Amino acid sequence: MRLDSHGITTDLPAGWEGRIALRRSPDPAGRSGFETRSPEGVGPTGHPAEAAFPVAHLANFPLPGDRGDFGSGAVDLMTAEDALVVLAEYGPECAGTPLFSHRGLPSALRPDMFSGSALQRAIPGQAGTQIWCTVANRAFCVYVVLGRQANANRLLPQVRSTLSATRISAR
Amino acid sequence: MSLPTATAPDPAAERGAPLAAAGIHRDAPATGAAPLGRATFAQRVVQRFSDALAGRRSSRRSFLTKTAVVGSALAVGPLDFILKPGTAYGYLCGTCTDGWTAFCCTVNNGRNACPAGSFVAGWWKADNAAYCCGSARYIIDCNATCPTQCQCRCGGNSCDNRRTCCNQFRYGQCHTEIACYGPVVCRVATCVPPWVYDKSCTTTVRTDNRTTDHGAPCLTKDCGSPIAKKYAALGGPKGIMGALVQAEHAVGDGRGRRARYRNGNIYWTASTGAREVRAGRLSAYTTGGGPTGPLGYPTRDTFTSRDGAWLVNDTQYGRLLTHKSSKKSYYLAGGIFYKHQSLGGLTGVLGRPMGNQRRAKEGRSLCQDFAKGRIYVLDWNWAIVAIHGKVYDAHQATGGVTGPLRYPLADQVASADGRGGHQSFEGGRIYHSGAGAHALRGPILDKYLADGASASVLGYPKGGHTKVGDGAGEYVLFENGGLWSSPASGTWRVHGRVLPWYLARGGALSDLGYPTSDLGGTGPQGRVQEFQHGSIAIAADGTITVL
Repeated sequence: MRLDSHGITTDLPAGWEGRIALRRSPDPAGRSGFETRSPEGVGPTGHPAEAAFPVAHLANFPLPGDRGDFGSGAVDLMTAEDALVVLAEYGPECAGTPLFSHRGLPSALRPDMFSGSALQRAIPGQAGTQIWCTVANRAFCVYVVLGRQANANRLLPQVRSTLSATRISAR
Repeated sequence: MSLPTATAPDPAAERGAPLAAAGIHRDAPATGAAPLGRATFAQRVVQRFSDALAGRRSSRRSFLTKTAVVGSALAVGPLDFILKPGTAYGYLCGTCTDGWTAFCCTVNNGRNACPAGSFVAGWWKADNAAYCCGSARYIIDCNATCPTQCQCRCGGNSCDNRRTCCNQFRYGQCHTEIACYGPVVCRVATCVPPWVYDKSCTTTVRTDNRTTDHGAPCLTKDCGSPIAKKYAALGGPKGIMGALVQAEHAVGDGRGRRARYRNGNIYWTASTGAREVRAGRLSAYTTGGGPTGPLGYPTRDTFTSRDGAWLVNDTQYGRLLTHKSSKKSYYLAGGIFYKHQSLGGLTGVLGRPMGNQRRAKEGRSLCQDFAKGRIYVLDWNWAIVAIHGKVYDAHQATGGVTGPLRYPLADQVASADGRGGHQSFEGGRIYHSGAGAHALRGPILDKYLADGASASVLGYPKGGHTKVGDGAGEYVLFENGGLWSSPASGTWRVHGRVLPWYLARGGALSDLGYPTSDLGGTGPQGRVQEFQHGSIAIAADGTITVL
């Protein structure tokens, strides 16, 4: 299955599914007129200055509809044989900064890159890693979660295959 | 907070970590993931206690009565706290094993800020947060600076006993000039946009609404909003509003905010201020569409009507009423409200409402019933017309808007003589006077109007349309005469001395039949009037002769 949206293209391996989404930004103040804002200009769903960038969720298990950007809601459902890949883009001002200095998507993920502590929220048995990179002058965080750290050798080939089939085009 | 400068060497790079070359910048080695193993005895006792509670799956409701976290829980997420399944403790406080990181105020001497040895490393947003009075809430991660100086442990408080220095995760929008990061030491909760809170943060947004209601005892926020102040002024939870049911939130129209309580709601807009609406009036308000309906926002707290019979809330475009003795509540909105007011309100000609606005059964208008009448808003021209008193009764007697008169075209008009008046309808008029209120329509009305109506010699009607026994025509009697009408004879007036004489003779059923003219001017034989079957003359002395 091929996903192609917001300059992110990927050919998912068999048994994988994915979503590439761009959250809707709060309307600029005064345009819709349908949000009451705090004195700081923050409305119920955020501040108009917030910049939304695409987030891709790729997984070898069914993704729930309600997910946090770094996979909350999905990671709770993962079994020992599941893997989740998140590609989260950041604003162009981040591209090339020290945090995002690595060039290109990760291609050679190894078990020692993963840690049970490198998760957004610690879940027993799971392991994760964050790879910060700049691709086509676009800044990304690639966050990978394995359902069971002990199964890394079995799960990582699928993850590597997914990432190697993922292309980022310049904006 | 001590931050490495942009030109400072990357500690991870200094240690030659091969992961950094691959874009993995978390500090190595990873800290342990079993903080309980290093917890103090007191922390372990607290954790065991909370785990035991979790194990028993004590309900939120039962837990409400057992623990001091209740106040904080209700302040942060009252409705969810009461209604969502799960354990009460975990909802607000979190536990050392729930996987989330403690708030900074828990581990930083009460300060909701990054502690020394950590830096603002990223942020996310949670929508519709009670903590931010209904606006989005921002949570900023404070990651340890490299090399990591802290160890993974429990927060150590009886509430917000979450982890600290355990999760080597970074959101990554802030201080991107710093590549290496240690675990999240703690989280800062703020209602201020992160890029305002810390200039190093970018505006790239990440969202996770699962953390909307995460709280801690040290994270109390006095919204200071007009609604909060109003609630406090009304006595808070022990006052007339009762306990909070739904935290303050935007109404959704871009103007107002609302909070729900056990006994009512408080609404706020910049122009109306914070106003309460309670009990039956809130039900009526809701029925009437609430703040985004025709009533608009409340403009006055509950007050008692002058006659003491009603509890009242004024709104921007209407009024909410509860009858104190019957406990029934109603709303008056928009044009109907203003019409009712113009006619004297509750003590005026229409009297008290007997129901709320409704569509008329025949579907051409909106209407509202009152004790002494009804107000219609006509669909076709938006005219707002009241029918009241004797005219209303007469209209109803003829079938109301489904009778021959159909809808009123205008309000009642008083006659210049001060003795009565009339109201025009699609199908005729109703005249009222001391002789009662009676409907006129068709040729008889036309003739009456042509003759000068109530100012004519006939005066006001004292009866309605009456069929003549022959089925050929009808008549209406007035104070000083009558009008007889039939297709064959036309419509003519009989008045003065002729009227009792004509009626005594049998009227239209007499040998004269229906009149075919009015009483004429004075001639040789006196004043003559023509009938179907003859003529009569009335002499100057009043003698009536059949010619």
